[in-house]
Amino acid sequence: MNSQNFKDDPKNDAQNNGGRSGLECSQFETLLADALDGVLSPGDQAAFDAHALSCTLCGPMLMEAREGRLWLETLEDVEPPKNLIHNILAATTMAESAPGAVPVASRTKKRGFRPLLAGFFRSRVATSFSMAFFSLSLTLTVAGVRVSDLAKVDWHPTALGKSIMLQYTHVESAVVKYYENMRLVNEVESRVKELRKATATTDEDNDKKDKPKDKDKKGPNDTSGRPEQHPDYSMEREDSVIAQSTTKREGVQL
Amino acid sequence: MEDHQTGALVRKCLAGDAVAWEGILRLHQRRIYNLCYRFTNSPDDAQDLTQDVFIRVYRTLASYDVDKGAFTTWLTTLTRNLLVDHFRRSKQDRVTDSIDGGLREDDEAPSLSDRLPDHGPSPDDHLASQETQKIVRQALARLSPDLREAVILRDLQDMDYREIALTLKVPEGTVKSRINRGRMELARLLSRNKRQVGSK
Repeated sequence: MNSQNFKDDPKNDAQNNGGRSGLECSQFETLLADALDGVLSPGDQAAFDAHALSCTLCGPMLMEAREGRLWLETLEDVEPPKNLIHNILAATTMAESAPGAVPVASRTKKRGFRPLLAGFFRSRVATSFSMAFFSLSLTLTVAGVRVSDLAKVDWHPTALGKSIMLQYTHVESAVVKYYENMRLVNEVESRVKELRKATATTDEDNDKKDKPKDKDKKGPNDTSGRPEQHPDYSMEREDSVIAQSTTKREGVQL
Repeated sequence: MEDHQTGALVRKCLAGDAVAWEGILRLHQRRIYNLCYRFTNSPDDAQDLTQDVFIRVYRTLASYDVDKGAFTTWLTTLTRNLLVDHFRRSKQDRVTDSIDGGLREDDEAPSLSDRLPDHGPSPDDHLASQETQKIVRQALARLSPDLREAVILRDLQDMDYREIALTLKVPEGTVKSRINRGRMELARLLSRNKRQVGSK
């Protein structure tokens, strides 16, 4: 819609204030950036200012744009990290070019091939790859698979399935055999333990039967179990009077 | 003047002068870092992106025609493309980060409006205030990418409209319109938060 049509429409005329200051709102908006930069000609600047004062839409628009610009002016430049240049230099000249080589010219010659392998030779990728290879080779070794055997493998699906089934049967039989052996060993061990227990019980019974006979043989004069007493000391004490009562009662001699 | 100096450095660099490359870095790294920082509002992201920009410059320097255009515009275009890529990668995160999202993110933390000064908007009074800068940075980060890159290139990078139009690959009129809308949106955002403080 051109400016003439805009003016002809009474509804738009009320909104745009086209007739009052000689400037339309759309023109005002176009001039807004230049006006804030202060590069408008005196005539345009006067028309712009007049429209800003008279228009209820464009006046606040000017205020807001000016305010936003002032807010942005408060932002100061920040200092980049000190190691930034060194990091960039390390990432470009040192890492991507041979020592002493021309950084850009030499690289442009190799550009066709280098990016393909660049990712591969990054340390993280190389580490992951080597770990995966190590894990795979370890698994194959444990499973008893040899790399040289792979050349002899028939890769037809049916043959492959049979081979897998055969391998599975081998592994299963080995596991079952191992389990059976372990069970036999455990059974033998438990039998030996039971025999030992039975032998120990029989010995104890025999000991109990033998003990009363020994006691009968020894008799009452056997003092082997008593502490040794001095014969003179006990004889002296048997006839001595320790205390005697003086009452009518019969004296008690100890 | 800067472009003339850079042009000579680029020629030397293409001829195999490694020192010239460091010269280009020293001449432009601050501006590129600030551009990235204003766009991402993150020092870490800005550092990574600046590094990516110069790695890409290093790889594609041979494609730059010294006689064709200004090195600054070429470098800014390259940076802007990387920033757009970065924005697209992190778009999912930003979808939830609406303009008022920051106020809802953490009810315990002081909101943007809490940290705004109580009196009227007078940026000159707070020119040196780090807190004000932080608030403005946050508000700037919440503008839409189109408006943000336009105001950053104009008001923070001091590029002229023609250069911005070349960088963004849009007509100058669109550039001016985006700049105006970006400034207004920023002012509205900051004043709206301040009104919320007044109503509490």
